[in-house]
Amino acid sequence: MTEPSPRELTQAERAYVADVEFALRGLPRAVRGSLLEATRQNLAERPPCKSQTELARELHPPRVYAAELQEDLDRSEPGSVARARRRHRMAWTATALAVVVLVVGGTLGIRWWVTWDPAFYSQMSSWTCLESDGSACPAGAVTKVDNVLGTTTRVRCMPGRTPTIAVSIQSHSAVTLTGAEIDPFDQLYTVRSIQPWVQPPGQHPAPSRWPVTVTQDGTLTLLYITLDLDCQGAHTGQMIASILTIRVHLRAYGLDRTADFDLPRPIEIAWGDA
Amino acid sequence: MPTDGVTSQWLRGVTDLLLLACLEREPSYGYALLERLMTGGLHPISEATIYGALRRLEGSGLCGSSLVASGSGPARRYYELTAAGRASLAELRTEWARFADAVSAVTKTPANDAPSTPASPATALHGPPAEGER
Repeated sequence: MTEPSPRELTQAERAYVADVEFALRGLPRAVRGSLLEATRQNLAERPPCKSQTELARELHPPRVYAAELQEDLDRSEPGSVARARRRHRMAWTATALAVVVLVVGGTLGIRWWVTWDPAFYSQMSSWTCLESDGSACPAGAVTKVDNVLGTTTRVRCMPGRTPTIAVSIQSHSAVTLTGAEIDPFDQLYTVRSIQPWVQPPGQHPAPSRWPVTVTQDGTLTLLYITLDLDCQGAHTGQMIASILTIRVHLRAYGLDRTADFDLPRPIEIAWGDA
Repeated sequence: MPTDGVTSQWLRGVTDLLLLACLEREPSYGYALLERLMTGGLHPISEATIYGALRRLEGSGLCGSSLVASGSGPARRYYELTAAGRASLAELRTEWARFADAVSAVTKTPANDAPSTPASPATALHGPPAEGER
């Protein structure tokens, strides 16, 4: 037998190594790498083979060669290959499980992020300022009509009157309000303006500009809603409109959203003086 | 009747002893060790077994390796025995000698034993016949 010169692997030998690697799948990377290195070393030191058939005849088919490598490994420490395979499989299973959890969790998180809707509430009543000039009434104004105990805030529609409604709004979440609107009811009134007033804790409310921040620390935000009423043709005492919901535009988690804030008590608009 | 398969199985059991013994003489590389074993009449021997065993012996510290540049192609990996390898070789030699003696003793042919007349199976199992049975 002549001594071969070490050399680069032929194409058939590289294919043989690839087949051995495939047969060794399931083993940990380090073990597989060591066995493949042994295979490459073996092929580089022996006389070159130019065909898979020749390699299979001299070295056994790749699957058998891989089995012989593993058999030797297992002989030194019985059961080591099976344990290594089992550990490798468990590691893969754990990784796959983690990916599934991350994907499912991520999907649920995205869904929550998209559908998140703050719960607005009001612990105070709605009230109206009966100023004939339509100016917003500050808290504590004499003309303010509270409706703390009542079930309905009623606005009387009189010619030339532009009442202003004040609605308190709070949220369980810190949000930034960017605007508000009320759907007109049969075109009997229009919303002239909705202005935010912010009341820091322990202080009187002060007018502000959109956007305003509603925090979780009890900061109260008042929405002063000035209405233009058109009561032509209505009968005295006839209720011509009712405001149940205020649509609030907000920005949270980097996304513009819309939330409908149900008023704790309806605001009714009726014809005639009180 | 002995077959290549049987010999191959025996060889697998003494691969470490054979490789360590070869390396005791001089550092060598995989294919040269393979040739030495084959020319010594130890065949068929799996190349995968030899190369795998060399990596394993190196991993367990019984031999070390170094790449030696070659005139052409990649460098050869030469293996040489470590102190731990020499100690292990001594133990394996002792164990092999004991094992080989035991196998020889059990498997030697009856003709080599001291001549003796074995008892008949009936005598061996039941002892001599009783008075009434004679």
